Amino acid sequence: MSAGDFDAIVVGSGAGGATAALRLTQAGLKVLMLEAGRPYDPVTETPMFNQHIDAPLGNIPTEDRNPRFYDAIIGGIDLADEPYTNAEGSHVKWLRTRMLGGRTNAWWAYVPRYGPYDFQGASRDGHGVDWPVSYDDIAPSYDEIERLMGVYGTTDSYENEPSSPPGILQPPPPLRAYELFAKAGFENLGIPVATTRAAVLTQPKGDRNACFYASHCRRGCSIGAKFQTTTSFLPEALKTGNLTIQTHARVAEVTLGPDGRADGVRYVDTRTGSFGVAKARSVVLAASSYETARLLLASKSDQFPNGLANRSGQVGRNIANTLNFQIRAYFPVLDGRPQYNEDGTSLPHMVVPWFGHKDQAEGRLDFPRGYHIQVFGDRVGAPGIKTGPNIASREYGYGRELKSSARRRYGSYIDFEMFGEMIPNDDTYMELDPVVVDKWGLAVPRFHWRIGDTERHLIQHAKHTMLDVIERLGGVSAPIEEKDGELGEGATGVHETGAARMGFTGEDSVVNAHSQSWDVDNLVLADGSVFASHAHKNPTLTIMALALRAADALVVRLKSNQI
Amino acid sequence: MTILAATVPAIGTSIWATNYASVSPYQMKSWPKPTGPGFGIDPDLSAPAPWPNILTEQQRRTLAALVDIIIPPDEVSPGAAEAGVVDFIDEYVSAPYESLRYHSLSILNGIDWINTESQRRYGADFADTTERRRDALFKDIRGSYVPEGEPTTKRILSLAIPKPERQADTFLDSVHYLTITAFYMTEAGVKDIDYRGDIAQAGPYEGPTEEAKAHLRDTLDKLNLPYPDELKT
Repeated sequence: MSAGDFDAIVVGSGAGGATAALRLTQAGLKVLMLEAGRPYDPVTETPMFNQHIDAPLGNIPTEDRNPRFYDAIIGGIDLADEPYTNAEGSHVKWLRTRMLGGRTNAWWAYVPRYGPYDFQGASRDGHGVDWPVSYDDIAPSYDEIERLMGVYGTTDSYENEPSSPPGILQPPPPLRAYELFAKAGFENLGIPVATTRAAVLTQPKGDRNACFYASHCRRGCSIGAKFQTTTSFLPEALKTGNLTIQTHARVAEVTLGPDGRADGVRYVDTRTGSFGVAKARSVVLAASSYETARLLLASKSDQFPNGLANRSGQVGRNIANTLNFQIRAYFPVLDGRPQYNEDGTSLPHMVVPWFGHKDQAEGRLDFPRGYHIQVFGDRVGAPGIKTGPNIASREYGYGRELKSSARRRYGSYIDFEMFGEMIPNDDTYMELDPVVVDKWGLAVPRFHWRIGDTERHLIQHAKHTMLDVIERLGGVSAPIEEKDGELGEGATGVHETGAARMGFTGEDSVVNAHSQSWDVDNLVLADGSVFASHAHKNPTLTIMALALRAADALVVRLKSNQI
Repeated sequence: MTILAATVPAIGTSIWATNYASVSPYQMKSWPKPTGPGFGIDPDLSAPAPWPNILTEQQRRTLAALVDIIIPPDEVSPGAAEAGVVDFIDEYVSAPYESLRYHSLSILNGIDWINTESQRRYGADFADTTERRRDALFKDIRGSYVPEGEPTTKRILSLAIPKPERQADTFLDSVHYLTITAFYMTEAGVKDIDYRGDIAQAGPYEGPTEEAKAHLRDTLDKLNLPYPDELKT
């Protein structure tokens, strides 16, 4: 490939990369997409109706296939060829996918919008920094990305929980029986319950089919009902004739031209180990938050001795992930409840949005940010997920009594899971490990992680909320699992954000409000790395809305030859 | 009962722990290395487990007798052995993963141990003695760490800890856990608990039936809870 062949190189084919590539190619620009993993075709590769028992070891997690054999994840937390390290006392587990489409293949497609408060946290409570954009700035991008993806939900809004204007959303599925049960409990405690918004089609959209309410989103979706880039944005971008996808291309560094601008990337073909270069007028990084920061830090030059686009020193800082833990509870009153098909879509059909704004405004809470709660019933999901291991973990008898007890209690368990906001702090960051390198000699991250009192207090509040609801519903909770000694500390989450945050100036941020590097004007970031804070809400929709905005701004600059 | 229990080295006690290390024929054994297409981080998802199973016919017979005590046949479904649970456990103990080694070793050693104990008491292998004697031996081992009777809520919940943190600390607990895990993943087990999902359907998802809603109203009445909007008539 020679210089000038491409208007843009996009690194990564997941939520952010595919969004950027779609916009650029539909605008008539030539894009080279580099994906570190292999090609992946959900139509032929998704084990939609395999039973768990058909998989080796009944689909339980192993060192090779983690979380599970049938999950649409090629990659994992421990990749032999691509190590990373943790500083002493840190327990980051970094899930990487090495497949076209990235994590969108396996995600569950929950797409809450960030609200007005989420962009202006520092102004409201003094913690962290504000984003250089407001909700009103982003709202049109949310509208548009939802139209492109296909999202179900209702237009009902709650404080700091905006929904979409009429005409965008598809009809949501009704709540299941266990959800109505939990809803009654929450409402009785004065906690409102909302309908889930998910990027799952309940009506056909173009070539994509509506959900048929079987199998599980984590396996991928061969019919295109659940949004994944491999059945939507990537084929749509390829249709333009402007997209070239190169797989097995692990990017080593972004290269600089004589004018101080990015002129392409150097990458290694992971099959052969040989290095190559690709040139383009601009570079868009959407490799995942931590990987994008790794790439910037590894792209050292005389101009950028501390890593590309890192004059602020903020690359690798401000990382955060979702605080998360769950409580399982048994509700004897649900024993023997009538059976029916409780699968629906894979996500819970309801969600409990953060409800403590008033208490916080009146000074009654000892933490500034929020959390949300999802509830998972034990009858939901392809057979095996919620039958075998779940029943084994709770039935302790044997013989005929065991069998009748398992029948009676099947459907009486609910997992309450909380997702909380972590505020970036100075002790949580990533840098390049001074010693360890990957199979191809590339530098790898070393993580530092801790949470503070703002997080611990939030976690305790969430715990008490869930225990209160469980008690009100006549349930008994199981002992609460602690991860690595700290409940829900976030280090193991898959919602990585913030490693190259956006801001108002190049002094304390890496990119501007259009995700463009302050230091290198033809370098754009299109993944979670640009987040200035980490709301408790699942980040993918916001990643995509920002990628859309960033790509549109890049289109204008490329077309007007500003780059 | 009391006398018998005293003669059985209770699994999980220090006696067992000592014996475990000294008598274990599997302690140092390395597992066969798989080479098939169903192995590694990017396996062929349609391929079966590529590693060879290692249980002997005698060990499988012992296991079959044991898993049928845990899940016997009844009027609704077959027993664990007929449903295929022995195959599952054989695959499990033969698997080349370190993370499974704990349960695997406890099962491999435990199968041999229970035969030795059955021989000592009854002069026959566990699978070859009478059902009554098998039950008696099973109850003695189980009685060493679990009270008899219907499990209490507290005990159920004390074990409702998600894998892999839940490390069974005895042979029987490992077999118990894997037997139930496997049985309720088989077609027989899924049918037994009357799972109604995983059926592709055209049109919208319908949600709870009228019967399910009526039951829910009764349940909320019992708890003195107002209905959510969806349940108001």
